[in-house]
Amino acid sequence: MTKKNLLICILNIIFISSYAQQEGGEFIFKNQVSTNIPYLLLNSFELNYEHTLGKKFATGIGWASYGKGYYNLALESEGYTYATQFEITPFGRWYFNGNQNKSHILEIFASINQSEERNRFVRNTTDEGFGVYERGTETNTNFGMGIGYGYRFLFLKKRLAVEAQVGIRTNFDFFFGIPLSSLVRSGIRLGYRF
Amino acid sequence: MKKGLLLLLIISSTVFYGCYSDDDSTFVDLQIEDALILENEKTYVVGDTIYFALDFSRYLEEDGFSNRLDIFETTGAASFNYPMVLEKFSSQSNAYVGVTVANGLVVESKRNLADNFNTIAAVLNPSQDLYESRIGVILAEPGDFRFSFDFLTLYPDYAGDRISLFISHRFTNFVPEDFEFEVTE
Repeated sequence: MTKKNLLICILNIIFISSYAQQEGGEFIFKNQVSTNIPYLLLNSFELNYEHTLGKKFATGIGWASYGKGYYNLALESEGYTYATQFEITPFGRWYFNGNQNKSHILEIFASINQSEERNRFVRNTTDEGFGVYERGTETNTNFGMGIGYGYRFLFLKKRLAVEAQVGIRTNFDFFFGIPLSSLVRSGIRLGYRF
Repeated sequence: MKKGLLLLLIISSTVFYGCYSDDDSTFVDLQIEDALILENEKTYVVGDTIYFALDFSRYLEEDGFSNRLDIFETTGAASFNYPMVLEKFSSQSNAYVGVTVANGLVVESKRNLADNFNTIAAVLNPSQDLYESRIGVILAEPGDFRFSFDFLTLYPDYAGDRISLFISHRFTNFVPEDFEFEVTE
């Protein structure tokens, strides 16, 4: 199967599964794409796609890329900073009032993220093949999990979604038994439902 | 609706960041074994000199890594310091008590620099592959003595913004009697 055919198949599946159904005079939208508006002000970008499951649930995947503005918010501690570069977040959502209404949202998500620890001591190898500790940047790929809570408003006959959400994620790094966490999947999202 | 708006206001007033601070608590603890050699003849007379030496490579094994660590490149230290603890048996205390070795009674026989005479510096040699120290202590009074070398920690000379590194010296088969000696008149 060529790439072109595969793309057409994927688009067909999305189109068929996403077709808005009418129920009691109201359209039911099964899909939503959204982006986080404050991220754009921070040279960052987040894109989410979700698909409804039943009446109260939805599942989806998000992708976020964090830019310089986002990085500038990093807290410095003892000489180096930690910053997440990007992350992919498969998520599941529970809409308290149903996924076709404005509703509170409880979200659980996983995260595959890449982080940079800048200006920290890293172990490099000299030209002679020996180890040496120098200040530098260490890049790691991490797996994490998180939880979010928010509220979704619906406008324009429920086709436009505005969400406010706060979420925290841990990469299971612990400090004296307490998991270190980051504020992610937080902000105000603007979404289009179809 | 009011609850939703309130939540929106609270969330929009927060700063969204996906970064957290962590501590830069990394330090390197290296181990060397049986590097200290006490040239112990067990019995001395007042005026004799007892020597000990501690030499170790610039390139040391580090747990978890296949290649050795260049401690000179890492620390920038031209010397590593360690304490010299000499003790003398006191009948009054019925125990060994610390003795400070006076200025003039320490012999530096191998380019060692001793900032004070109870701190020894193992200095990087001219070929820059070995830290070396060899020290002699002139025995000025009779008694039963011992060096307390069973647990030694060596620290580098501070050289700016470098990682914290120290070296622990251990004996694989420590025998206290090997460090005891008698000085007679």
